[in-house]
Amino acid sequence: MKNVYIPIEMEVEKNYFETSDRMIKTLKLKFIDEKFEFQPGQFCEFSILGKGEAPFGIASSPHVKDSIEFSINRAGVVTKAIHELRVGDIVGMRGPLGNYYPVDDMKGHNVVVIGGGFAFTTLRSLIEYMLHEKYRADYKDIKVIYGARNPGLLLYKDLLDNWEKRDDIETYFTIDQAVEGWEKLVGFVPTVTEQVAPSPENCYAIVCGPPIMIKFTLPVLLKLGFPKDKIITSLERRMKCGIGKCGRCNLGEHYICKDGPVFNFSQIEKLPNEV
Amino acid sequence: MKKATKSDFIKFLKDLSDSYEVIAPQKIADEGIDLSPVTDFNKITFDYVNTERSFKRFIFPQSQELFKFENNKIVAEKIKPKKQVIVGIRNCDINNFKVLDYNFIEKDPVDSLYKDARDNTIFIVGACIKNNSTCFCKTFKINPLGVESGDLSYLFDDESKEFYIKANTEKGTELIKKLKCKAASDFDEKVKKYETNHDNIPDLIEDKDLVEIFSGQLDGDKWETIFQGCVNCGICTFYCPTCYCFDIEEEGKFWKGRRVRNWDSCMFSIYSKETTGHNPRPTNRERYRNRVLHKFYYQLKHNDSYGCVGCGRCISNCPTNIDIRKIIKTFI
Ligand SMILES: Cc1cc2nc3c(=O)[nH]c(=O)nc-3n(C[C@H](O)[C@H](O)[C@H](O)COP(=O)(O)OP(=O)(O)OC[C@H]3O[C@@H](n4cnc5c(N)ncnc54)[C@H](O)[C@@H]3O)c2cc1C
Ligand code: SF4
Ligand code: SF4
Ligand code: FES
Repeated sequence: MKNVYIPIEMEVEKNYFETSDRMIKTLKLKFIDEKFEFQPGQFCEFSILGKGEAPFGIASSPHVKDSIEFSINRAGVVTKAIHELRVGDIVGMRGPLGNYYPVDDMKGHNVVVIGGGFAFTTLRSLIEYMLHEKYRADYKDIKVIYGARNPGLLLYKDLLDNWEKRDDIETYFTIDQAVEGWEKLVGFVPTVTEQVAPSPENCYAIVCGPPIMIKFTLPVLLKLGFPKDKIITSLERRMKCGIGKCGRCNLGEHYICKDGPVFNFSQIEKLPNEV
Repeated sequence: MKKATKSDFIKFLKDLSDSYEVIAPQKIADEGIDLSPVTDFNKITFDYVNTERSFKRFIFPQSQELFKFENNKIVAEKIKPKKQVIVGIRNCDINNFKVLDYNFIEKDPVDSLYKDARDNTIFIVGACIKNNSTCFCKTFKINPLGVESGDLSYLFDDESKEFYIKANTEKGTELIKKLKCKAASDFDEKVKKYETNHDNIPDLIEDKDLVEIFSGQLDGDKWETIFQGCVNCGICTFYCPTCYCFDIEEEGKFWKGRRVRNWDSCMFSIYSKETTGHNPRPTNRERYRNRVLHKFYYQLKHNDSYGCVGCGRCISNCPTNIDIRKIIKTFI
């Protein structure tokens, strides 16, 4: 029987700074022998032998088959080691783990994606998924609201420019305070959401960001009339095994690593207040 | 069903030690009577209510290797699980399988480390003749005699000084053939005789529906006081036969080392603390609540089983005398 704690090997293809504060790096990793497919919203346990394992949401599109990408904030032991990786290095990976955004239920609906800070990773995967020529027709209007403290902290700038130029996606990029040279929106994500969110009619809202952003965006969406089961978020929890065994990540009776990380607010509401 | 003298039974265990490691209750200095691998069969004792610790650590060790690595490569090796016999388990403790098997085997994916250990172990359950003031197994509809549990079970009859032994599984049926002694026709009589010994054990829940009871009390005043006194030492979880939380840690360096899992406790503050410093269970109150709810609400939601077997170890070992029975009574 398979030992479920053993990771597969992947090779580092790229590792570069994503943000101007040099805290976040995006890594592109190539499958070697074994490979897996995934859905937008899933995550992996990224393993550096001798340092440990840590969970990260998959940032690339599920349509890219021979590699996956992550954007990783330097925070501690494992993430520091990840930042130091060089092209050609071999790392370990367990995945894909967890559930994913309800891409099937979302079919036939308008979708507004609301993101803040570096939690934009799996949202990028989701948007790229929906924009793919094979799936774009499945979804109606797609709106993206994405904010960061300053322009340098927005992830995936080339991609954002690219989306702006397309006519099958509407984008609103915002920063907290005005700076010279910035011609897009200024203001916090909840405020911008209030101004530009689509009608709640037949619409899903996918919200990911720091707890404080979620806290203030949720009431806005509720006020606009979004039903709780159509407001979706991805929860974070400290994790170890990632496969529902170690007990670490529970929120109520759910193990976030297995029953989540994606939940809607009508589910979250029924759990003890421990987010 | 057979009956054996103590020396027959010990001889049987000794013979088993050719192919199995035998783990049995023994007097261990400073620790009272506890389960431990046997080196001297004369040291096995059956004179105890329950062992200091449950048998859990022999199938889910406190520290267990997940794999080894060398020069940044995982060393592929199939660790052959040890064959073992554990004797003297109480029925409360072996009911922990409802929780552990669900977590490690029934729920996808299968944890092969746990399953291998479990599959290679023979469990021999000993009926309780006496009980402690902290026993409350009947709360969870667990019979302290437990003659239907384990691969083999036995009941020691004080009067005749004989062990009444019964096979409950295929493994047990094979094994009991090796036991050289008389057949027992009066087994059921003996069971009846000892049942009344346990009339004093309480059933705190009776037929009440804990899911219904707790679903309305996930928050609220009752939680504000019950945790007070708890110092989050985690002893309750380490003694508990059903607790299964573990941490994953690295030992060594990339050129030579291993990844291990170690028991962990939801009572520790760093357990749920995230890298950002945010802690979703910031105080004792949330941590204590989590433990209680896991045992009496979440586990029932998982697989309709209680997360407690009423062994009483957390009660007798808590340095601040927190009593889980009182907590149950507070809520129902
Ligand atoms: C589902 C999920 C998706 C995530 N996606 C991303 C992402 O895309 N980009 C990103 O930068 N970060 C992400 N994180 C957070 C990231 O996992 C932590 O920052 C990371 O574990 C820190 O590891 P460290 O060893 O560098 O930190 P240390 O503080 O040194 O932590 C030591 C150990 O604690 C554990 N740990 C500490 N905090 C966390 C935590 N919040 N979650 C899980 N384990 C923790 C890790 O196992 C780590 O090995 C995600 C977390 C989760 C749960
Ligand atoms: S043993 Fe007692 S003090 Fe220690 S964590 Fe458990 S309840 Fe708290
Ligand atoms: S919670 Fe306490 S009484 Fe219940 S099984 Fe665990 S240690 Fe025993
Ligand atoms: S991380 Fe182990 S149970 Fe979720």
